[in-house]
Amino acid sequence: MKSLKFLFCAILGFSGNAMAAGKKAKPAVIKKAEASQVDTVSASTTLPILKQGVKYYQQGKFANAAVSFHKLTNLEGTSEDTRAQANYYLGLSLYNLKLFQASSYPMIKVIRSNSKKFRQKSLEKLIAISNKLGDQHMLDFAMSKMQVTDLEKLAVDVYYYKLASVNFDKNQIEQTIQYSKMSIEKNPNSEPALNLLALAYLKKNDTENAIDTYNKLLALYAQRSNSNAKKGYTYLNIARAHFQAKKFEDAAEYYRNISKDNQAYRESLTELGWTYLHLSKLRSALSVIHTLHTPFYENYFEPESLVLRAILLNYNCKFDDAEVAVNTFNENYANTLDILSNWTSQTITVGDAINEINFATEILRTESTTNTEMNMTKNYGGKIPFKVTRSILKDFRMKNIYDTYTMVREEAKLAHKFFGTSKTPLRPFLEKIYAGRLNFFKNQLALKFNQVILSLEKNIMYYKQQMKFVYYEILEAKKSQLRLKIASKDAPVQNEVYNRNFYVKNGFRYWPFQGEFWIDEIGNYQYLGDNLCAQE
Amino acid sequence: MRKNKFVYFVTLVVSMLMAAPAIAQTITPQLEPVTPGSPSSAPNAANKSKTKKKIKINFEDETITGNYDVPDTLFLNSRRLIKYKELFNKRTNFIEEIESNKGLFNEHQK
Repeated sequence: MKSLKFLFCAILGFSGNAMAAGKKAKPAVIKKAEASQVDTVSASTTLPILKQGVKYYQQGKFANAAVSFHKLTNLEGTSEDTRAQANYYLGLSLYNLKLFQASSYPMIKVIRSNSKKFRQKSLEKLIAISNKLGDQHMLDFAMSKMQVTDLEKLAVDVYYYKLASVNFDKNQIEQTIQYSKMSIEKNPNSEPALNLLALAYLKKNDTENAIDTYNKLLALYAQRSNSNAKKGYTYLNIARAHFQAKKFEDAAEYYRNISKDNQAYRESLTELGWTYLHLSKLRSALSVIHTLHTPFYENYFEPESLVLRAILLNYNCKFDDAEVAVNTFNENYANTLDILSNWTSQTITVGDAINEINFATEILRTESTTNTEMNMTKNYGGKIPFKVTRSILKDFRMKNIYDTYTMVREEAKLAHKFFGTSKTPLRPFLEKIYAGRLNFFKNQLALKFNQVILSLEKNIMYYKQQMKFVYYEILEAKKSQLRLKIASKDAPVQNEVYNRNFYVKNGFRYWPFQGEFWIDEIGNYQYLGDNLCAQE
Repeated sequence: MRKNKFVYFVTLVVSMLMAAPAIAQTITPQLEPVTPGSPSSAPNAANKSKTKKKIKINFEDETITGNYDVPDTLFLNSRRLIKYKELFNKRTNFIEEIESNKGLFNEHQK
């Protein structure tokens, strides 16, 4: 009996919080008071198993420890408290093997049991696991089982953030602001809460508070490199907040702060173009759009940039060039719209969606390693164009699930490596977990994939309509310019468009755009055309 | 009756003879140039005063029928000065884009 007491107390020393922080487990601490938790009926059976489990755990042999603890959880006649304890330690062992998904299962069993002590620890551990995996469903489950009083300081901010997030999804902006503030009060460095609060302010059109909140978030990334995605997107969001506040000069400044090797850079270009348009800096706006229309960004989904290009050229009275932009849009996106409409109108299986994802992922993987994307897209096997699937994968609604799916898939391989040859019941237990979870994430991926396709279809339809309006404006402007030219012989001649003498300017800082690109020229193109509009 | 006819005839011939030099002068003024103060200008003035005759035209029994047209459309010359709002939308916010990258900040490990 005393031995059992010693063993359980020893294991208790491996605190869940320490694991959540990513620290190594400390040596067991003996706490005599916890001995009574082991039932006397099965003590003779459970004792040797526990002894062995703890021994392995202390030696860092977590795979062996997991086998022992799993054996204990399946023993008949074990009391509920003992089973909860064994499950908790099994979870800890699997967590140390970096099998996060598998470790969540024993934790959930403990949460569903009546063991008060281990239930709270397991809840906190489950939050840590869901953070590791980025699994929102798991976090939702953990949150649904808790009260604020159940939580230690570590998780209270996450709890309030979750409440804010739920309210945001219901479009209840005031409640979102309230809970986000509560979350930030508990943890001033909570990135998701700060981001959500700023977004809620923007929805309320309270741009000043939104900018303040984003600046607090940006301060958290001060030490990170400029290529850091979160830092880049925070700059982008601050610029967007200034744009919404109609502070276009400030917005342009923040857009320009985004590093060219940052993930957010490409997205910033079209928006910077709009900003310059509002500032009536048409040449600057066209210079920015040039970068987007180089072959470097050829395989990206950018209907909005073509609409903007046509508008800008129309304002410069470059009607021929503007019509080229209209035609390019129609050639590229009319076909894409047909494909997407066809996709959404028929019954799509999970396998179809996963195939599309796999085709695009393969090219993206090759692109990052060998830079041969251009050749590969010629023989692209997907039904949906590569540039569309790429955009879907970059969409964060989709990306989070895909990242979790990838992590779980890697974990499944790791589990096979550890227990693939094992003849213990732990192997089928893990195989069942991973098969089920992979299937679940595949379904989620397919569901989200189709949702994003629907939103992209709407997006193209909207820009198609916008392009028609722009074309109408081009014709109108053409007509009025023609009238003015007939009235005044001094108006500039349209033929100048074809006789531009491009040259490198400003100490080789800017390059004229002639359709080609060099990697170091990206973002440095300068539009050198003149405004050809005849004045009334 | 015959006497009246004869009187009318004589009157007509005399009046035609009297009017002949004046007509010749207006049609071919270059043949007989008239200089101010010359002796030929005095008889012309005397002829004018003699031939001054009022002719009255009576329309009492005449009925004139016809329509007069007025334009039923209005041409606005100032039309080109009116500026219509452009049909396409210029971006005013990027809330949708911010919402789509919300997930990035949920990635606690990155």
